[in-house]
Amino acid sequence: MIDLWLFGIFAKFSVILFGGGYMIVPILMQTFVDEKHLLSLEAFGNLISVTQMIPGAISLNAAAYLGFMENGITGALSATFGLIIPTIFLGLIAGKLMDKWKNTTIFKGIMRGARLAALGMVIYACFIFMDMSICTAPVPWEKIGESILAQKWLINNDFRIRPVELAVAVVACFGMLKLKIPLTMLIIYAGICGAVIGKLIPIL
Amino acid sequence: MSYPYRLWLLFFTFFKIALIVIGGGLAMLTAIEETFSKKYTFLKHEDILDLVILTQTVPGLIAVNAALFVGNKVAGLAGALIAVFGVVLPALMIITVIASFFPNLDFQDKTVIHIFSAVRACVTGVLIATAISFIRTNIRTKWDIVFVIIFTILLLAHISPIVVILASVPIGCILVHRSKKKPLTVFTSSETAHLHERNNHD
Repeated sequence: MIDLWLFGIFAKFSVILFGGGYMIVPILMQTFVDEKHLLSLEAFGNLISVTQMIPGAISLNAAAYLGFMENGITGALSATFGLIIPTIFLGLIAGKLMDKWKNTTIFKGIMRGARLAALGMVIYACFIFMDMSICTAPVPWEKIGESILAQKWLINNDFRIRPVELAVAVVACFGMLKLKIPLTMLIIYAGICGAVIGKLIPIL
Repeated sequence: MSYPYRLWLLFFTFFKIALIVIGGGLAMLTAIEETFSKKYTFLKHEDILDLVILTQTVPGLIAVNAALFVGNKVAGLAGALIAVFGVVLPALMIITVIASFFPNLDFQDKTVIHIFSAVRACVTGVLIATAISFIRTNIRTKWDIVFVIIFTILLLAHISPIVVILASVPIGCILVHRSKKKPLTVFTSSETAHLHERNNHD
């Protein structure tokens, strides 16, 4: 039964994944962390990081991993095929209809809207990852809203920014944008830095 | 080339591609061209171009769509399915291996904690970089900016991403429809006036 659920839910994701890449991150976060409480936000972050070290699409690797976590090998297979099979059908159909479809307003509209939504999702994913890496707690949006409305300046003691993680993020961002360092290398360097800093801190 | 060998070639090539090719769509397309267009002439140049367009427009995983297209061209429906199987198998195998190891990783160990903390920070930076380059290539009109901000705020308010994606469809259609009626108003009309004059002379 769990397998069937896994299949169904990844099939649902598969149909709406237009922007590719990181678009699946918020969807998975809301389903598996917020709703199902299958894993903590940090563990989810580790999962996504691991899937980026492995060759293959994030969504594929994440589906296999989450499926395996839920229900072993059969779970992994169900989740993966759930992701793939709608794509197969859509791909076969789209291949035949593509020439008629390409220039319709509806198709272009879907693409345009999907790109905007995808950008919103990537920005949202940035916040999700910030919450579990750079900041020590999720950004307190409610408190910020309250403080603006009440014209008070609230200081939340739980919310700090971790300087080391912030430095790593800035360097990674710069490395990807300007130096065009491939993702796998960046993650490996970051892991090495983490290990080294971990050893150094007791000494400092 | 015999049919069984074609099936094997599809499976093995896409298995290799899934295992080795890093860098997403373009690198994969190059690898496909190497094998199926240059080494064995299954695909003509027009097919490669079709493949490029296909990977940009059909929803879903690029690798799977590419495997379907190429597999179909080389060996029909069976070819398509076996190519997809080859593309998917490496991920399944590697994940199974890794996921078996992970519970054994001691998450109380300080070094492990530091490593993963750094890796998560790295991914955060990469996401920010992705967002920035996305913005550079996709935001053209002020309505783009408005809607991206609206979508982001909705998502931060824990509205389901599925709802946001569904909402983006009519919004996108409206934007495309409106942009057909008048040209994109990124420049003011005085800046474009000299362009019109030059065109009239040609």
